[in-house]
Amino acid sequence: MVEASSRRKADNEIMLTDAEAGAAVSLRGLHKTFGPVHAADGVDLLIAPGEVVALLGPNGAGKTTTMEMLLGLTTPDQGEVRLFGRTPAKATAEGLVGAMLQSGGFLNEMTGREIVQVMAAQYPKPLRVQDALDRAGIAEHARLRYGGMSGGQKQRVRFAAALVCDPDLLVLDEPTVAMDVQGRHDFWDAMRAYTAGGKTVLFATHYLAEAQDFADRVVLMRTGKVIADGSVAEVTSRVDGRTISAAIPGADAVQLGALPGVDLVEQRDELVTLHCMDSDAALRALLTEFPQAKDISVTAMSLEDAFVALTSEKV
Amino acid sequence: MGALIVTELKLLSRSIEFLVIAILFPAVFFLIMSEVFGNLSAGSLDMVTYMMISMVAFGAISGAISVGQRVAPERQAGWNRQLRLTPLPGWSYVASKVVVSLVIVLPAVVLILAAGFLIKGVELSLTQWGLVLLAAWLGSLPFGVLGLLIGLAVKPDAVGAVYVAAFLMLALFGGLWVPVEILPGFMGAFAHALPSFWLAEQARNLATGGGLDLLGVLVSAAWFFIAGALVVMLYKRDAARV
Repeated sequence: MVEASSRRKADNEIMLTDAEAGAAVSLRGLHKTFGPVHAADGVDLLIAPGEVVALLGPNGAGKTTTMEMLLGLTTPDQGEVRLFGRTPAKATAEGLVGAMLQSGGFLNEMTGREIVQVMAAQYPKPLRVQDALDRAGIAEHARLRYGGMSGGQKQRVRFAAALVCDPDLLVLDEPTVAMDVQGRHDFWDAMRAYTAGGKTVLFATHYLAEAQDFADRVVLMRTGKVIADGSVAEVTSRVDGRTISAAIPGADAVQLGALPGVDLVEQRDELVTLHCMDSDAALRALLTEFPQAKDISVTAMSLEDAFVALTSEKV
Repeated sequence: MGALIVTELKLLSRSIEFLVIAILFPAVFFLIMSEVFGNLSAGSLDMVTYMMISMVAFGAISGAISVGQRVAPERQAGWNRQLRLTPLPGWSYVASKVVVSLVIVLPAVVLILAAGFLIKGVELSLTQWGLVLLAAWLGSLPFGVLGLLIGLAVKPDAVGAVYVAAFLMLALFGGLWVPVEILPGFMGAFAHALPSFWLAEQARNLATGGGLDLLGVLVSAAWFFIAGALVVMLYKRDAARV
């Protein structure tokens, strides 16, 4: 983690100048607590115009709170938010930001088209409503009432509503959450078309494949902090460990966790998965202390393993 | 803001139940009541006229409040939060709701007055008809905002109950069912602080050739602006994490 903190420090120094030069997003030292929960614990993030950034992290990592502060829906206890050098309120008023939040919603009695029309009417320079419906791939179902739509159709209406202000920055909180495979595919096709014009996107997702396929950059959060920030390759290489799987009758998770080189223990009955920074040392110790271990395999980390390792408590 | 008003009116026009209860019901209620109690005397006004004005107040209040409290299901759907992501300012949201409540109240009031004139033969001068209409219509302003306040301040599952309680108290203590004169003294004084009392009182004064009461205008305006300020505040707070 020394490496990460020095990188973050470097970002801080750049931030002062880049914020002036018009970074799309500049978050500096954001703190937010809800009662005992420290939802944001010093979040720093700088996004250049045109970047597509995935925000990853387990539930409760502070992704949604960070997005809400970014959008001006929640006021940070401490820290500063700038979008294109402006306050969130000013950037919103100028129609620079479109957002799709989990908690936002529309009235069931309205049709898809009416929803997008009403949103368009709030902005200074909106897209044509038909254009937004086409881009979001919901044009042919726009006459349906929102309440009668499938989960995937609703998400597309929300996407159209976020697009219709023709924003330079799109903020999406789990945009594909209710979509089937084809729906997700279409959604990201639409997004690619959108970002081809140099637009900036920040999206939170639980689908690591989406981050891998679509994002230029991955930001990993845990317990209110940014713990990794870089390309997918950079982030996975940060976890240069391996995974040992084995069946160990009578194994004790605490004992296993104390083995040299072991980072994280997952246990289901006698099946044990060890995430290891030094798998050689761990394997030697494992065989000494648990001679009953069998069906042992050692594999390299996937992005998912990296995600688990980086966001777990022990790292 | 215009688009919000148009949308809301479009949605209301699709809800026959809402339109019947908000617009038609008070006029029907007036016809039934005046049939039952119409031959009693009520001071300087004949009973039918007195009841017509009470029902106008009743219709204006219930129409305006019921528009305002519709904000509760909208909140539950997340519509407020969605609007907060747009440049729409908080006061503009409130203003659009108030305009919608005025649009709903107007036909409700006109229907009662028409029933009074055409069916019950109430006689007022043209100016008096106009003034009564205007007093009831504009007097409904605080209630649209009060409905909003209830919809925003109260938990969604309690909104219905609080709405009914507020409406009944405003009607009872405002003297819409029982003349304020026969309420106990302290309640009579309390009535003078309520916009429901002043809505009916101003209309009655104007119907008997009197003028506007300045105190009444101030009381109604105070309710409107204080409730309005609270609504704008709650609307902004509501957008924060629930």
